[in-house]
Amino acid sequence: MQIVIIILNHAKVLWYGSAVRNAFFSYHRIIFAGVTCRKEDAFLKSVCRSLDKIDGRSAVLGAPMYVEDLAPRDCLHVKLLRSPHAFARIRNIDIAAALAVEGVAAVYTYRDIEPVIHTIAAEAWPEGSPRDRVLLGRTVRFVGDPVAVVAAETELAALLARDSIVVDYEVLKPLLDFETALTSSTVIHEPEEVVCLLPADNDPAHNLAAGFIKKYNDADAVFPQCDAVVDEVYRTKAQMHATMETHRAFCTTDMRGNLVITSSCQSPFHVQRIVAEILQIPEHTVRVVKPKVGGAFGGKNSTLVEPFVALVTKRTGRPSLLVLDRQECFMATNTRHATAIRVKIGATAAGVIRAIRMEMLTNTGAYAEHCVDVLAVGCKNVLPMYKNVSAVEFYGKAAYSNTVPAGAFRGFGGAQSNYALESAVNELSHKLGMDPVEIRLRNIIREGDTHPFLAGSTPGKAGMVVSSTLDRCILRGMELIGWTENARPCFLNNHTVRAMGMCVGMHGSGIAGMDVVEAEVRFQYDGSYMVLTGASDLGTGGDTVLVQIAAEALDADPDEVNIVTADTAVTPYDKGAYASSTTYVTGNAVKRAAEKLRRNLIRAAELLLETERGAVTFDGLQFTAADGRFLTRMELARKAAYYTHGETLFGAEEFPSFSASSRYGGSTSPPPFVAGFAQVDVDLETGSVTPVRLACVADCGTVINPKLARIQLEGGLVQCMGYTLYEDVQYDRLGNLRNDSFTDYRIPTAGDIPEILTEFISSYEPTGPYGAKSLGEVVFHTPAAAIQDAIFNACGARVRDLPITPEKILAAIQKETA
Amino acid sequence: MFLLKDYIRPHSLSEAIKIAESRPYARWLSGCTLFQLFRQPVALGVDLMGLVPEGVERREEGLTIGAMTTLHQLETSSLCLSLFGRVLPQAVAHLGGIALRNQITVGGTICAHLGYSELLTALVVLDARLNFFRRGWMYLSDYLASPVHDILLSVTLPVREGTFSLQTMRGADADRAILTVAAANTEDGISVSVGGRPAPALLVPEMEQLLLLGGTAQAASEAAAEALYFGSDTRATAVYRKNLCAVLIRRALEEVTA
Repeated sequence: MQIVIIILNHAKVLWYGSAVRNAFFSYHRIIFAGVTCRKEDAFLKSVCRSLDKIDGRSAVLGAPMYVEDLAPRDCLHVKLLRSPHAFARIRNIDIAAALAVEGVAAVYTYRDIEPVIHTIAAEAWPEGSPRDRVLLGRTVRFVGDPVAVVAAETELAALLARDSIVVDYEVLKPLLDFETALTSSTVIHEPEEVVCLLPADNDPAHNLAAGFIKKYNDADAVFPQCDAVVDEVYRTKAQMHATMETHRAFCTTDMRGNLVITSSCQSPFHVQRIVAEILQIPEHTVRVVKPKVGGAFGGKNSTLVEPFVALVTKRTGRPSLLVLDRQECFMATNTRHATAIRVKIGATAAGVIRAIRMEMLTNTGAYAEHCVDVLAVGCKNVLPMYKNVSAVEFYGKAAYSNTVPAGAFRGFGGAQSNYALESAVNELSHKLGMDPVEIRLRNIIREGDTHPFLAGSTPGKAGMVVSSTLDRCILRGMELIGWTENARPCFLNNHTVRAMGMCVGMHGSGIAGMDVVEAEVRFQYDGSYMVLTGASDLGTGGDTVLVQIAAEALDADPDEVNIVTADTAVTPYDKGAYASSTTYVTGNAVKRAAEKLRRNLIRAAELLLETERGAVTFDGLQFTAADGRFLTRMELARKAAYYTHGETLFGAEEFPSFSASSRYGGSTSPPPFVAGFAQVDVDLETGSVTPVRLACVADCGTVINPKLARIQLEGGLVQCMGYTLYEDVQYDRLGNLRNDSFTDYRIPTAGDIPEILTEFISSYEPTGPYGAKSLGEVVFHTPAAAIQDAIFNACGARVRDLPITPEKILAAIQKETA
Repeated sequence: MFLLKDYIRPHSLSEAIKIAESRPYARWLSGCTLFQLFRQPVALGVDLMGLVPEGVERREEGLTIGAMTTLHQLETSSLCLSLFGRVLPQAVAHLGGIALRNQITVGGTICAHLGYSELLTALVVLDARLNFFRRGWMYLSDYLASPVHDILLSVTLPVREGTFSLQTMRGADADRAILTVAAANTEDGISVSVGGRPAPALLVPEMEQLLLLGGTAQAASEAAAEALYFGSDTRATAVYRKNLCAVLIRRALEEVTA
């Protein structure tokens, strides 16, 4: 019977042209991997296809669809006066000269707004992040902290007025080094200025923003039994999101006088809640719309601009627009958390990893957005990688300092922690004289393995990895990069050595037990479909993926499925785009809603065709009764819309709804896995590093859209390559950012990008839509540790502090040879 | 984007000079790329478009480059691609992208005496002479040592046979140089210039003497690096630059003497 199905399916698969390879591949996977999967999952038509982004063509052609394109012409231009001091108290602000500038509509300072203590972290309520901000306060805590808001008829008037404000500061000595912050006598936040809704181990008197501890057995009892132990400190710097579109929002009022904020943000529903709270107005009087976003990477998951336009429009009744300039985007938005991570790891002589202890100190900067969860992710999305451990401990602390606040950033703590852990494992393999691949294959968590730190773990019951092909990803990555053939570093000339390094990585898919989303799918009177979700496509192609999932469930052509997203007045609640969740979490909700709609439509057809329940089949185009009578999808749509005569069939309450909603909230967060490899050339005389090839093989479960998945993977690799080699946030002694432009803060450009080799080996995640897991963040995890070890293999010098600049490498080489 | 509060387009160079003399805050406008990095508005811009020559020409006295020539014109000019071992195209190829190089002018680069400029480093080693509107001829290395306030019309490079080398270290492609070294070995002997110290390019004094005294390129390079002053910035420290300088000079010497 199974063979017959294979042949039939094979024929059907061939029918679907471009989907052949992927669909056939997924079919092989289903049969040969022995994974149980529902029959209809084997006929994937819309899923596993490389569709173009639904808005890609318009974006390329420059269609107006971003925030600034949509703002009304008569907007007031909003500018923020920002603190020139890293730490100061405001004695007085004189706004008389600013108000006198022609065209100025309003100037607001701390005198004009209630000091509501809040957090701008756009995360589920009650937020884990300590609440330590007020919109306009009397203490400024980093260079760039907002001091006053100016609104004027023209941008020039707003700038002139901003520069006419006179502020009298009592300048305080800033605390810039987060590694000494916890023992410093400088206190950045007074204890009464911080409120925690959830326990965060917050201690402002000692500049401790948050702590996070997780322990499984006693590592110190296990280390003495280990034959090899590595105990090192790894440091990572802050990183700028460097989105093409800077942070921006505009606000108008609707006909009832409610605020309508259009913002380049990641989580409209959280923005709605936070703005309402800051302005102390009901949430239903604020509507937030997210149009197309020009990149976010986590940086727009803090509510940085929306409260200011809302304030101006609320007070003046005029539409207002705030666009941050590039310098503001560098100095006054947010960064990746800088970290100092001590890893102690021990293994037996045979290479079995027995114990891991990680102490992670992060710099949360002036404010505490996302600092707790960044520690939690650094622990829970990274440490479960190695299954054989007898003990594993994590001690995380987030310290305040007078630097640019840290926030969410692709990888979210996992990036830093994975770099430290994987570097330590590489060092361990060198100590044991083992191939780094070998130590991974011996220790990595595999399908069916459990780990007490995995999401979904309950007391006494460790969580389980249900889907993983990581072992195969590693083996395939070895082939791609030529690991065995090129194992030995080789001299290209008398001063350049080529060598390789590798590591692995994992992440999560959404936040278990916390994320809840709802999605709606409608059958339109013209026979097409409409998906409504609050999910935020940030340029990643999330909307396209959701369309594909709905189309798959409804056997529809993706072109016939429209989508409306991220508008708090129109779409159902969605927590937003963070924690790698659009495909997995929202995708599940869309799939459920679409399947529910499909059931409704079939029931409607049964009523129309007057058949028994279960006697009608639907192939996506027509509903066919057992006796051969049929009804096309279009007929159903038209009749239902136009043939209603009072309380007859179509108008009856019992008639199935053409709109179906469903929800999803996971009790697990299945990890996607990656195996990453790097090959670099190191110039031994200058310390210069040239990445030659980056290879990465990923398991994100079923690949819903191979093209979009590939660009995620390539983008993540390149973004981390810049982080590893040259992105270097620097401050002067007063706390001014030294490199606050793209001239001085370098991100990779086309000329820097090496050959990139990517592949996917799908596992099948039973809890994911059509077997899919997340991908957006895990792609960042491998280049750092892989490049670091490749450099070591080339020159024998190890640089543990990112970025690994030529200067650091040369110093390490000189130290090694001295 | 940058903010220009006032703008004048003079009809002649003498008019331009007069405006600049009466209003010292005036700024010449050529490619207008550096202004985009300014945080302050420009009070008055005096546009030099149409007044200053543009293009690359071979004349009796040498290769003449108009001050309004863009870096991309330089990069693609068949003359520049056939002369001086292609160091001129090499010296501009990594500065930003083509869109930016289509705006940046040779004159603007010289008169901003940018320390990190690879182009200045190459021009110094090629014995570039500058032709100013009022002051007339002046050697580039003299100008960089003590800049004058004038309008640059063109740059002239004596065409000589020989071997040339440009060695640059940068943190990332399209980034400014951490250090850049240019070397020429012609009938006039061996000369080496160093830029990105991060101060503007200068000729290594007595390079031939150092080679004679040191014996090897290695020793001469180390002596040359030792004699130069280096500074620190966001890209590198002085110590690293000094180390790097010896390496890059040696590689340049090896290339031009091979």
